[in-house]
Amino acid sequence: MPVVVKLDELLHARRMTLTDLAARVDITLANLSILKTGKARAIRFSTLEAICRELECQPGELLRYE
Amino acid sequence: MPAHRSDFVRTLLRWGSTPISFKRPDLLSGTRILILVAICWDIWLVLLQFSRIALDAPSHLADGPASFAYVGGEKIPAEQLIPAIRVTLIGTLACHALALPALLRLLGIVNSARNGDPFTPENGARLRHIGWLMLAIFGVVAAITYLVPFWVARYVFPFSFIAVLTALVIFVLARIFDTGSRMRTELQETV
Repeated sequence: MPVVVKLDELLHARRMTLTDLAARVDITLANLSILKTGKARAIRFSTLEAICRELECQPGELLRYE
Repeated sequence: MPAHRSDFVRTLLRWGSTPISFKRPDLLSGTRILILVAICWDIWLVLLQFSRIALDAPSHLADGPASFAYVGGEKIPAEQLIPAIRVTLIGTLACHALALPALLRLLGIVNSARNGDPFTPENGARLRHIGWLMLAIFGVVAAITYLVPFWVARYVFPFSFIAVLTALVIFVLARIFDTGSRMRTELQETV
């Protein structure tokens, strides 16, 4: 996929685990794993908003086009 | 007066939006039972037709009091009637044999719906197979109706184009299930 999700780097910078983030954004760990491993085909704006809110980042920091 | 009318309208709207709670019957379980009964009945009919052909039953049917042996008050000679009955029995056997895989595929679709996941590529394929089997059954019926004198076939095969229309509807349904399956896959990959 040309759009890469930089979730690993942001989680490491915020000292947060994927499990913590899943609990905070009310998304299942399985779905977040799909996002992290790049297997997701689409992301909802509501999901993007929740992740950016908890990780205190911009969508451009989370998603990158390569 | 206007206040009373708006209260009345609001009450009506509230009644209309109140969900009626009742225990819904499990239609899929009932459908499954009906399909299983149909499969058993179809297997029985296949065995029955095969035994009739194998046991040379046409001669008994030709000599019996069956009404199709008489046309215009005259009894049809056995040498004309027996081949017609035999061909009809073979055609009936073929139709029931073709119906059996269709019923099994229908059972597979109902089972997947009971499991909560009907929109799968397998169900699209099952529906296409059912459509082709229905067209094959219609082909057999058309062939028998052409080969056999009507005074035998009319008692066995009701020739109808409804079967063709039903098969076309099933093909359309198969395409819908294929689209549904793709949409479901896309939804599963949406976070």
